[in-house]
Amino acid sequence: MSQAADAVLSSQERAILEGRKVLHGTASERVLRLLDTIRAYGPPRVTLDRAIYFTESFKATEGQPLVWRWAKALQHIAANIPVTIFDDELIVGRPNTWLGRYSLVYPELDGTIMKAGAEAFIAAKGAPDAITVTDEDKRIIDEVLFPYWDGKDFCRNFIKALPPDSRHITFGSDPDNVGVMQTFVVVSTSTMRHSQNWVPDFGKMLTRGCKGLRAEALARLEALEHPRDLALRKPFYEAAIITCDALSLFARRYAERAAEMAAQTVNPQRRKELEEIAAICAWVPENPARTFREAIQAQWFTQLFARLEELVGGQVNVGRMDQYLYPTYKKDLEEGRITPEAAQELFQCLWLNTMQSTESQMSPAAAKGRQGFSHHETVTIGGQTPDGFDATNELSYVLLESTRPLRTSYPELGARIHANTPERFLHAVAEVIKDGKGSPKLLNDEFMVPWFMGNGVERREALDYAISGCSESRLPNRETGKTGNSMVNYGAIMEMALRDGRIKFYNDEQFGLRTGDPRGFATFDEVWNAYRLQLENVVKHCMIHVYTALALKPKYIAAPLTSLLHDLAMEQGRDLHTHGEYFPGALDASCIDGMGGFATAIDSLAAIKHLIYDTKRLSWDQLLDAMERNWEGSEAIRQICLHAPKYGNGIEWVDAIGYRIQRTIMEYARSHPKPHGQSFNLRLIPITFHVPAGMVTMATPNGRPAGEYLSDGIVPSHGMDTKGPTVTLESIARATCHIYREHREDLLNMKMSPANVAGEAGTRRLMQLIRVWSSQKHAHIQFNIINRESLLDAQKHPEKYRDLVVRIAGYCAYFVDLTPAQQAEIIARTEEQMG
Amino acid sequence: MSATAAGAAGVTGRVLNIQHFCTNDGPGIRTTVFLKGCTLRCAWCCNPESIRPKPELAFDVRKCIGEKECGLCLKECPEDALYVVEADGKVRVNWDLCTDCGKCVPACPTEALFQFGREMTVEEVLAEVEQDAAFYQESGGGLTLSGGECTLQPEFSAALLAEARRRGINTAIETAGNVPWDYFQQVLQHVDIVMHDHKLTDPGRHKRWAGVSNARILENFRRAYTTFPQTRFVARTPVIPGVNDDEEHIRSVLAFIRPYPNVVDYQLLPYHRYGEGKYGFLGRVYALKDFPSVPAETLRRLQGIIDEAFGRTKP
Repeated sequence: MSQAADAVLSSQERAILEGRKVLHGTASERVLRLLDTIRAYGPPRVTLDRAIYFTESFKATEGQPLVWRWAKALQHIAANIPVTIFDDELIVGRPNTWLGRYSLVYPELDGTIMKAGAEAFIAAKGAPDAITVTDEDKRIIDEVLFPYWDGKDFCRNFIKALPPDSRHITFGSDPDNVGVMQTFVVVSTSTMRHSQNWVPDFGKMLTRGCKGLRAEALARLEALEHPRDLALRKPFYEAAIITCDALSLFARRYAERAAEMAAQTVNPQRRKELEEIAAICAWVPENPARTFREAIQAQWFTQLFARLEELVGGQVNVGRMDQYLYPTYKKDLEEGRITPEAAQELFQCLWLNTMQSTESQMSPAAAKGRQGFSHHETVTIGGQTPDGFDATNELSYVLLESTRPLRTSYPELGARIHANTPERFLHAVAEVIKDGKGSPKLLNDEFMVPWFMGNGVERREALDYAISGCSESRLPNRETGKTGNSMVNYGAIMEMALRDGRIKFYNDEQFGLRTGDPRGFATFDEVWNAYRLQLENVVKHCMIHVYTALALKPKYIAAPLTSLLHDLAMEQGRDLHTHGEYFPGALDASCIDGMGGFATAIDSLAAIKHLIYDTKRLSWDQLLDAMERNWEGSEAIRQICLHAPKYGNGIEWVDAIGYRIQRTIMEYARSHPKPHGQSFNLRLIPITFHVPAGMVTMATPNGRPAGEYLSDGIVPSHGMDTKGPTVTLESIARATCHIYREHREDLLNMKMSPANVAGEAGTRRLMQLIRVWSSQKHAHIQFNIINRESLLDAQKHPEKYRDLVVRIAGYCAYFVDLTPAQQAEIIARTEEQMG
Repeated sequence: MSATAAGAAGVTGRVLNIQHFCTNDGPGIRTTVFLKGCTLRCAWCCNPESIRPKPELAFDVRKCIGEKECGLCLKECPEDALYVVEADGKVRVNWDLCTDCGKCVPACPTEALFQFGREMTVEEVLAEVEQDAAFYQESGGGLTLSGGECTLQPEFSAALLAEARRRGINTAIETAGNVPWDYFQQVLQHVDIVMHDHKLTDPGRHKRWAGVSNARILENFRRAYTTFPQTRFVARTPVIPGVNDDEEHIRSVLAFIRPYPNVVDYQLLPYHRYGEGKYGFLGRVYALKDFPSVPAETLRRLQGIIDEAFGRTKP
């Protein structure tokens, strides 16, 4: 490592330098062997069995109610998908047949583009973000999946159903674009997933089992009497029953397989393990979990089955694991069945199962936005109980420790922080953050709980939220907003405001409104007005996308397992994907998202105000001509723009532009409510979409060249906030409309060098920073604690850094799995300095 | 933001820089305000831009994009002190001609030409300091006044510190103590923690390395310890290899401070060269170019003596 001799290193950097397998603490030989094998497998490969059996079943059930067909398909999958158990595995269940990373395929979602998508991935073989598609995989896609689904999938029909102008802004002017690529002016994520990130109520499955849930569905089915219910609700309860049976069957096949393998196994220890696996899988999830290990196995089967059911973009999240697993853990501990060390090993087995599942859709547009094979099955720890007391327990610490030894990006750990979070817990969290793997991310109860309450949720229930996806949250029995959002490119909106609605990258095509030539704007207010009109127009199209998806989804998508685990869906006898029609009592938080460029837009507007109107240092001609030429021959003008006042430095009028941008969206959302009176929410969670969004955005008045990444999440432009983390946080708080009920979570990345948090004093400092972040009512924060030199060295010598984990967005990933453009973006992020 | 106390609002001082999130300038997370002007001339000075009391021009040639792309500054200089070097096409400053008028600064797009120091009011300084207020409470931090020599602007420093205290902010200063006692006591009465330097013991060597004798400094310190018994004093020594990294110096400082219970600590600041680049910005030469850094072993040994004197055992 080309570090200065006295450089302070994070635990991760030290482990890489010293070639150690274990980052911190200890991990069993079993876990390390499994991890080695998984890493040796290489890039993820598509796994098609689920798609094949799903398709077979759908061919056989045409014309029947959709949710019932979905349940039958799950049953067909459960009965036929290969059952594989590998050496050393303790927690079993997988949708693929190899020990390594895989990617499930969902032809009912995007079958029309599958063929082209597979070809694109084959062509990109060896590129960092390419998944493996073998010749045999390609043959199955071409001959089995594509012919049936071509034209029948959700994605194709969604695009067809969009009004022409809403289609154009996302899918461009090519009439043959069936969704393989998007414009990145507005990104639609409905086409990339059946559902938003989601948290099923796992606790319900652990305490009641498939049997208990089946019994409830049966009782509800038998109570139906009204002809309308018999026509519309009966299929749902039937589907729930079939799904419970399917999940039980899936687990039983593992019990049988484990028993067979045990009989053939000579090694007495492994034979005993297989016998245990057989006994556990014969009991859960069909029955309530009696032990900690049964609970973990039941959780994993349920999670895996939810994944077989649908593509949850942002993934099927794990929920408040230290809460719902605690009863069995405590009982086992008291009765001598488990030790904290044994619990850690079981967790690590679970993390290794999780890390093998990657989320890579067949659309290259989706791949660009989710680099590093993103998936973030967030495990929530900490927070408060429904009674309002601190919720941390011994299992919170076991979970925290279980993540430290492994040099993997999983699990995605998220800690809930509140005003009374104990010092012990915060200290432990800060220590793990300092390991440098970017974990855990933090969500703030002081923002989230009032937010839920402001949206009509009872305090008790609000206190029980789980972290979900990147930096979001869910109430597992209250929220119904499963539909993918659309995302705005704040940079492209800036461009349209300056170019009369046209986008240069697309040969000056008209994407936005005709708001005029800025040379004619007499005041800054007129500039702002043009920006506001373009912004509202884009937001309008985002909402049209969501409404169009909501209208179509009941015909194309269902999720009986996820629905039967949801109180409201079970009560109503309706699949959650019908949430376009309001579920009484639901929080239906559909949202609009920012794909990046929030700070780019603030800085651009600030530069215009400062340079053209306030100081008159530049004329519109000078600025627009320089931007048009991408600053070529205009370096002095670019430098003037770069040195104009920037967001993130405590300059009130600049930060206030951010507030105006957010408020515009929120006021628009509020004045255009959904039929049940709830508003769309605004979030700012670009994942990695701010990189491709930048590729289509021309030079911007903040001095940024054309094609360069836009700013990330809610944070200031890369390297432009120079006054340290205190001022940065203060500015962000000021630019954010925290008080609006339409304001949901934002993504807040902070990067520091390990020297800044070295030693016990550094840990304390980090704790203080977190306390202040919490009191300032930010929603989310996460840290990359790493030396810039390490990242530069990793670019030069990827072979030395194949296990280097970095924080990307609401997930962590291997640095070497990122494209060079994404790596450059991570390196350019502001390194917060403490003097 | 509360209104500034009557009388303090109009006072202005020459401020070099305000640095946020400082963690080495007193307890907790602090905001450090550096003032301009110093009465010492330490050879190892890492803030050479703080020495002269008046605002002065600085130039970072790396940021200059050259006459061909820019050249905007050349038209601005009334003294013809800016010129272009043919080899790289970039601008240079003729420091003999420059009067620090600062007229070239606003013209420079890249901030290659910039000014060290500006006049600020107490209110302006506190507005920026208070951006960190949330962190003071959480961390036990506050405002630190540093330099240069902050007691060289006694009226401004006293007004600033008094107003900060009035607003509930913990106050600290970093001082070398070489000012008239009047100045010193005027400032010190508003300070919670006084970090003060014992650079060298021997008056002659002090004069040789820091430009002045330490007689007045030590006299000020002694008077301060007894005049302000409620104030916490932290003695410090910047450890410069071959200059003062000897046990004798450490022991004599200990002998000086230990009789006073309000001198609560003695800290060593190992010499670093972070300031070297700034000499170039000012057209000056860094005298200690070839100085080594202090060996960790030396620091450990000296620290051991201090810990022993304060009755602290190793953790």
